[in-house]
Amino acid sequence: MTAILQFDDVHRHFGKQEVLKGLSLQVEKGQIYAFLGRNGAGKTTALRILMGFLEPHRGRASVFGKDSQSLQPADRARIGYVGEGHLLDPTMRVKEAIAFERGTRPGFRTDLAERAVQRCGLRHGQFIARLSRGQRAQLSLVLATAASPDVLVFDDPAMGLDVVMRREFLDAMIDLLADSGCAVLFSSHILTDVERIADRIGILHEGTMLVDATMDDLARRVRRGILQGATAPVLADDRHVLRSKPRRDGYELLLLDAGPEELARLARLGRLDDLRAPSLEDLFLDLTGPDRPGLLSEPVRELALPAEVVS
Amino acid sequence: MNALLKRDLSFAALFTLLGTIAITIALTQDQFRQVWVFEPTRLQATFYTAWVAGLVLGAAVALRDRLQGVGDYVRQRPLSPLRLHAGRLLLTALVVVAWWVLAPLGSWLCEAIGGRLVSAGQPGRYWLLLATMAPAASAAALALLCASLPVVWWMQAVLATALLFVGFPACDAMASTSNYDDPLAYALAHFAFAAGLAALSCAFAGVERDPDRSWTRRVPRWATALVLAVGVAGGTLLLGLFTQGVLRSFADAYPLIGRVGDRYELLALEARSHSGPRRYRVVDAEHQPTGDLRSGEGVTDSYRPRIGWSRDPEIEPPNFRQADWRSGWAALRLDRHGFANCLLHDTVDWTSRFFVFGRGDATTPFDGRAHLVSLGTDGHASREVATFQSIVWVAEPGATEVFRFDPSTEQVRAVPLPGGDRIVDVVDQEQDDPRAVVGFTKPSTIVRGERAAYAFASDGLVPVVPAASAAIEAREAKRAARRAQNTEVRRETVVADVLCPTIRVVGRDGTALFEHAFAPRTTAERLAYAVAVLPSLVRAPVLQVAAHVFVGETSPTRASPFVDPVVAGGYRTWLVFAGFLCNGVLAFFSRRRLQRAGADARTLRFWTVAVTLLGLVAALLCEWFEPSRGWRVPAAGPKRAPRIRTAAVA
Repeated sequence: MTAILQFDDVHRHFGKQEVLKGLSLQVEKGQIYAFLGRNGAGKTTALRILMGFLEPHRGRASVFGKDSQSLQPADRARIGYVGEGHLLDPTMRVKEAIAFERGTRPGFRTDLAERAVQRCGLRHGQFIARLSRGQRAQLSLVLATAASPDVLVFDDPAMGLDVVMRREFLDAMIDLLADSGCAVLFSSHILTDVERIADRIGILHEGTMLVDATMDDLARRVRRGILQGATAPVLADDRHVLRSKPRRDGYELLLLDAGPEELARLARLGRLDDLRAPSLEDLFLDLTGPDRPGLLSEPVRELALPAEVVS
Repeated sequence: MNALLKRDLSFAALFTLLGTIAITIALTQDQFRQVWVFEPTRLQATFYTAWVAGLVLGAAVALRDRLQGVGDYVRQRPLSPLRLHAGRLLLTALVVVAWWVLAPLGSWLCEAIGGRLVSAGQPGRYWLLLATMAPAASAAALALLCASLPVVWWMQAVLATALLFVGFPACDAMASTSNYDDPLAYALAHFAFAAGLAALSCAFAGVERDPDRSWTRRVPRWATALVLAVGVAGGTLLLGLFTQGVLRSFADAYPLIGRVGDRYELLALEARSHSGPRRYRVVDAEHQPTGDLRSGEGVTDSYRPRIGWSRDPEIEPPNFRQADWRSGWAALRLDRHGFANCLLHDTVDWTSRFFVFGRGDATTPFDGRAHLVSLGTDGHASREVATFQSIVWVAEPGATEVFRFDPSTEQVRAVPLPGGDRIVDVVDQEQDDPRAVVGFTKPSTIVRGERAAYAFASDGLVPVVPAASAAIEAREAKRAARRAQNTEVRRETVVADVLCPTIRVVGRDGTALFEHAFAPRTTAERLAYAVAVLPSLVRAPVLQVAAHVFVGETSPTRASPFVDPVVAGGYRTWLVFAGFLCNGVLAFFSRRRLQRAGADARTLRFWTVAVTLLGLVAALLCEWFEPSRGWRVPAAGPKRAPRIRTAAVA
């Protein structure tokens, strides 16, 4: 399949701080790609580069195969974008925001937007400045999707929403995207939401991609378990042991592609308990969690060298 | 575009309202009579309010999206950056045009509601008013441009100030005739300036500030060159002001030429005392002290070797008329064409009437030197405001008749001077003159003829009795004696070099009484000299060469701030070369910095040439526009693949 969105070895720094260190990923048609990472990981920078708002220092980001720095109005007409914080012009009313979209986006479907706005319980005369965060998020989503774009880019769309609003927002998103066939790239911190809707995830940590895999693949290949009563230290220097976190009575292990042979090897070192597929949140924490010891954690051993593991 | 304008409707309405209110208040402050009845003169409040409002509008339009945090929301639209920028320009233009229409209307309405003069208002004055408000357009375009520049905010402010102080005086200069500004030329100059700025701002459409990216890679080179030119012009202006200050104090380092008794000597200030007289030490031609001291009381005349200095550049409102306010009869004055503009305001039935009259009829103007004099019921004549019952006279120097205004016919009637005398001047009689003879109790205006002095009466001129005339003559004689004393000797500048002038004191018969070639001879003088030439080293070498070769001897008084008086007139060729050398060194260091940062050959060439030709200001702009971090490229290394990766489906 052809990649609609693509990052190819994108580097970007701000002063001396390297924010993106060779980001590469691609999103295909109809795919929902969740872009995860801690605060300051570089998600927003990457999305702004993709939208052409920021220039990369090396590498290239492309949309529909065209360099994001030279997107023409016709290309932009095929992209729906919701920025961080669902920024809309606060001086407008809801109806004015719809009219603005209609006037500036050739393919904007007012009827679709009107229906969606009604479903969300928004009133036309409401000022955007007076909408709640959730309402603003919903309106942003409606406006971005009503032009029937081929690509949707959301920068942390659930930020600042409470559980109920987040759920409503996600439902609206699923509803609007159903069978639309458009590619979606969205960044998020809410991993339970990501698990619900994403086809593929990318975990960005300190400017580097740690994970770029489908949800199914992760569920199949990654295991988490506890090795109790270990007789010898288990180091994360193996391509199958992604993380080895010492506990009082053994190790917490994060395993990748651990087949029967690897499991047998570990079983010889101690008792391997509770082996199961980790939740996305656990995986995220294990990969990007703090490296320094806290009150509740033991010092963490370094992760294995990043040998590429491709299924 | 329509959608963009509709979106900006509330913003535009707000600024239209605020600007209209501000300018209307300013117009009210400038008075309806000044604005709408007579030809507008310097409308201070309107002028300043208009351009300040323009500045605020331009900056607000440019910064609005950024301040509201909706920059990306607008940029992600399928509209080209140029179209978005054009929308901003159109919005600005519409608001300014609305001000031009609504504010005068507001001023008129204010008078219609609460004033008395609306019936005398001249709608035709609108065009002069429009010219006064024209700077609103150029100021708005200027702010829009500078706030759109992809540089740090203080740099935007510096460039805006430079543009303001270079652009506005340039517009003034384009519109200035001998005595007043041509309104049409003034308005056109500002419109052209605004159009130029708006066109330049299009070059920066969609370019955001990014200190981590090189400026020249993102901005067209011609636009960079233009911004550079503005920056250099502003910087040169500041250097020019600094040079003037330095030269002003430099003259104090030299001894002065003082007259002690019948001799002229070189005197160096020995001690400055607040209580007693100053003491001077006599110095020889080499400026070395001779040991003699002189008291300040004994120095009757002195000359400093100072060639003069110009006034500071400032932004002044345009002056659209030649003649000043001369008189009032209710309100009456001569306009720039020599016609008397008269506003009759009847306080009984509260009606106002405005009309124009000339010499005999409304088609022949008075002489440009004519004076309006109003004669009150107490027999007191004045060039100040008179009452409704006053009799108005017009007196022209050189004429053999005076003109009496007749309100019933709204024309003047010629009245010959007694004995066929000719008017020399119209003067104000002073307080200490014996005025009892003409019955005045306060200073009055009289006519000085070739043969006698005359006072104004209701039906003509009355010769002033000899006592009063003698007093005037005595006063004039005293003045003439003072003038003669001043012209007994005069100072001649033999060599008009601002730093090393040769001054000659010449007597009335043309003989040279004293001459001295000033040059730095003592350590203090040499030090002051070094400080005085220092600014010349960092000025734009290309301007220095132009001043050195093409401009003759000049002084800070006459020279444009862009001309360095230190090298003008062919003086100090070595300094021009030294300037080139200094700026060459600057260019070398700028080039080396850019080279180390990794700049491409084209950029290196551009800035090397710019700094070599334009000097320190260009070097500073290079430093700010092209920070080293803007050229940093991340080191190439092996691609780091994710630890867990699902291969893309082929």
